[in-house]
Amino acid sequence: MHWAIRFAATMLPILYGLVGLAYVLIFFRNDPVARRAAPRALLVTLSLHVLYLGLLGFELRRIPIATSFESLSALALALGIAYLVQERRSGTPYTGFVFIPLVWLCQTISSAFANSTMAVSPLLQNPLFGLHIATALLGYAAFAVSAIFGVLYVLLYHSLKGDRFGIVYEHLPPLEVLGGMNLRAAGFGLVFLTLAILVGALWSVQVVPRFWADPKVWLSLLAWAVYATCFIFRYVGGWRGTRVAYFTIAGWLLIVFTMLAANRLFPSFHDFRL
Amino acid sequence: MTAVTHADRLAMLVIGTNHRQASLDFREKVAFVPDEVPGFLLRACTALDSSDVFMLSTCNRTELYAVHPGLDSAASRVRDLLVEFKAIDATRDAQKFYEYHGRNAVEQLFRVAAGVDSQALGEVQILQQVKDAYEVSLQANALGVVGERLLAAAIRCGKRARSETAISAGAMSVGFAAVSLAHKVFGDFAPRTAVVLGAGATGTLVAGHLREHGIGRLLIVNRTLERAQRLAAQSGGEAFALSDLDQALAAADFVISSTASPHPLIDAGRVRHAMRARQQRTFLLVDIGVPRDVEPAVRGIDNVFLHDVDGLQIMIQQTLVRRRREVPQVERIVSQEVQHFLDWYNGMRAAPVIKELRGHLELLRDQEVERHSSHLAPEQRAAVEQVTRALLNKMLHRPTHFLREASAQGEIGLRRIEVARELFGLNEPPPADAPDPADDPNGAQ
Repeated sequence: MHWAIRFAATMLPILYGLVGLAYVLIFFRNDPVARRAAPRALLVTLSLHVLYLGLLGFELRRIPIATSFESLSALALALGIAYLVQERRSGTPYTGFVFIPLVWLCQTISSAFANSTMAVSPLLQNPLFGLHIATALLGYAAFAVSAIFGVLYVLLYHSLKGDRFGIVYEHLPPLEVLGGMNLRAAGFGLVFLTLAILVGALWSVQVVPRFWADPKVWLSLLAWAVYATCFIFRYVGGWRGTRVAYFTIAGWLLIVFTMLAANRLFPSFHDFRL
Repeated sequence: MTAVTHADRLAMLVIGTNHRQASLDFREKVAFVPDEVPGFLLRACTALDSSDVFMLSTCNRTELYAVHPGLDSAASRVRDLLVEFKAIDATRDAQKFYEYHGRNAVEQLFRVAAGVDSQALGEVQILQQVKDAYEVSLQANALGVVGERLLAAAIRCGKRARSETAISAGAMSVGFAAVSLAHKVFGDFAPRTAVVLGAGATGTLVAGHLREHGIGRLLIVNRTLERAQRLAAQSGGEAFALSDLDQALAAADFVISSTASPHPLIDAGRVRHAMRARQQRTFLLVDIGVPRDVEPAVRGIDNVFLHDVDGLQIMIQQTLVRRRREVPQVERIVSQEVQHFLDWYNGMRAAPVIKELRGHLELLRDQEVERHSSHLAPEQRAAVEQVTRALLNKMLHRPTHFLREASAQGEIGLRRIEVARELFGLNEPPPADAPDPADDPNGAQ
C-alpha cells in the first residue's frame, strides 16, 4: 500500500498542475479543448486525492491531518471540492485559474514535505481532536475561498473604475456576485473557526495545561477577531466595496501564517510530531 | 433542364446581395417584406421546377437558395425572377449580386448563420432570421429533404459558433454596452432598480433594453414630466420629474443618462448625498449624453462607477477585437458542419444506386427463375427461389458495402459510384431532385 500512497503523492501535484494550466488557458484564451477537459480532469484528480487521503489514513490508523503538511493536503482537497461545486452551480469556469493553482500549491508543499511515517502524539486519539481539526480545516477552506473572491472582486473593481474592459472584465462573474461570495464564504469560515476554537478549547482544557498561552491559539483568536471586526463594520458601520475584500485577504494571510509558520517560529503544543 | 452526371457536385446555388456588395439603397430595393416571401418562393419553385427553395431577407442581405441539378440555368432563372419581382436593371445591377454553387453555397449559408458574414460581426439576430426563413419556407411548401436538412445544419452551426466560441460575446452598440455594464456590476436585474435619465430616443432604446433584460424597477426621470410619463407607460416604469432626481438616485442601483442638457445634471455632491442615503451600496452611472450629464469628479467616489461615451466606445472596440479573434475558430466549426452535411448528402446519393442495383439484379434473378420454372415442381421452384435469393444477397453484400463507403469519400467516392453504375449497367440517371427520405442508405437493403 505504501507504494500506492507514494505514487498518489507524486501524481497529485502533477495532475493539479495540468488542471491548473487548463484553467489558465480557459481564462486567458477561452480554449475550447481546455473548457471540455478541465472539469473532468479536476473530478478525476479530486477522486485520486480522496483515495490518497483514505489510503494514508488507513496506513497511519488515524486521520491524516495531524501535521501542518498533512492538513495542507486536506485543505487542498476541500478547496478543490469547493471550487468544483461553485463551478457546477454558477456554470462558469473562469475563476478556476485562481483556485486550482492555489490547490496545486497546497498539495505540492504537502507532497514534498509531509512524512507519512512520522509518529504523532497520542493526544490525537481524543475524538474531540478530530472535530477540532475538521471544523478548523473547513473554516480555513472557506476563508481561502473568501480571499480568492476578494482578490477577484478587487481586480474587477479596478477594471471597472479604470474603463478597462479586457479579459478580467469579460470573464469574471458580476462584481456584486463576487462581493456576495466573498462575504458569504467569510461568514462560513467565521462560523467554522468559532466552532474549531470552542472545541479546541474544550479538548485542550482536558489534555494541555496552560493551552491559552500557546501562540497558535492567540493567532487563531486574532484571525477570528479580524473577520469578526470585518463583519461588524460591514453590517453596522456600512463598509462596502473593496474594504471588506481587503480585510478578508488580510485575514487569509494571517491564517496561512498561523497554519504554516507559527509552529516553526514559536514553541507550540500544536506540533504533534514525536 | 440541364443534364448532370452522377459525379456532379452538390446541386445547390445561392444568389444574393449584402452590405459588402451593395449600398443600403440597393439593399432596400431588393429586400423582401415578410408577406412577399411565400409568394416569391412559390414562383421560384414553379420557375425552377424544384421544391427546395428558401430565402433569407434581412436589412443587410437578401439571399435566395435553391437545390437544382442545372445550376447555370437555375441561376439565370432566379436572376430573371428577381429582376422582374423587384424591378431591377438586369445589366446595371448584375455586379451587385454574388452567386455561389455547390459547397461554396453551403459554406455561405453556414457562415451567415454563424454570424461571421454579418455587418456587426457575431450578431445574434441573424440566427433567428435563419430560423424564420426555415419556418416560412416550410409553410410555403417550398422546402424539400435537402433544403430542410441544410437549414437544420445551418442552425446547428450557428448555435455551435455561439456556444463554443465568444463570437457573440460583448456589446456592439452604446445602448447595449450600457446595459451590459450594469449586468457586469449587478448580475441579475430582477431585484435591481434602474434610473433612465432623459426620455428621448436613446432613453427609449435603453428603457426597452432594460425591460427586455428583466429589470425589477424602472424609474424614468425627465425635465418634461409628460414625456417621462409617456415612456414610463410604454416601458412599464415610474415617471419622475427632474426635481425629484435626488429621490430617484437614492432608490436606484444604477443610472443610465442621455439628456440634451448643456450642463451636468449630476455632480459629485449630489452623488455623495445619494450614497449616504443608500448606505454606500454599489452605484453605477452610465452617461451616454453629449455634453455629459454627470460631472467627471464623481469617478473619484468610493464604490461609485462612472462610465461615459468614450469608455463605452473603448468597450465596443475591445468587443470587436475579441470577436475578430474568434473568427478562425468559427470558420473551423463552419468547415466541420459543411463536411458533415456533405457526407450526409453524398450518402443519400449512394442510396438510390444501391436500391437500383438490387432491383436490377432481382429482376434478372426473377426472369431466370421464371424461364426455367416450367420444368420445376412447386417445391423445387421454392428451393430454387430460396437458393438464388441467398446467392444474390451474398453477391450484393460486397458492392453494397463498397457503395456506402464510397459515399463518404467525397469526389473520389462519387466517381466510384459512377463506375459502379456503368459496371452494372444502371444507365438511368438518379432523380434530379432531392432523394426520397426512404432511400436512406442505412435502410436500403
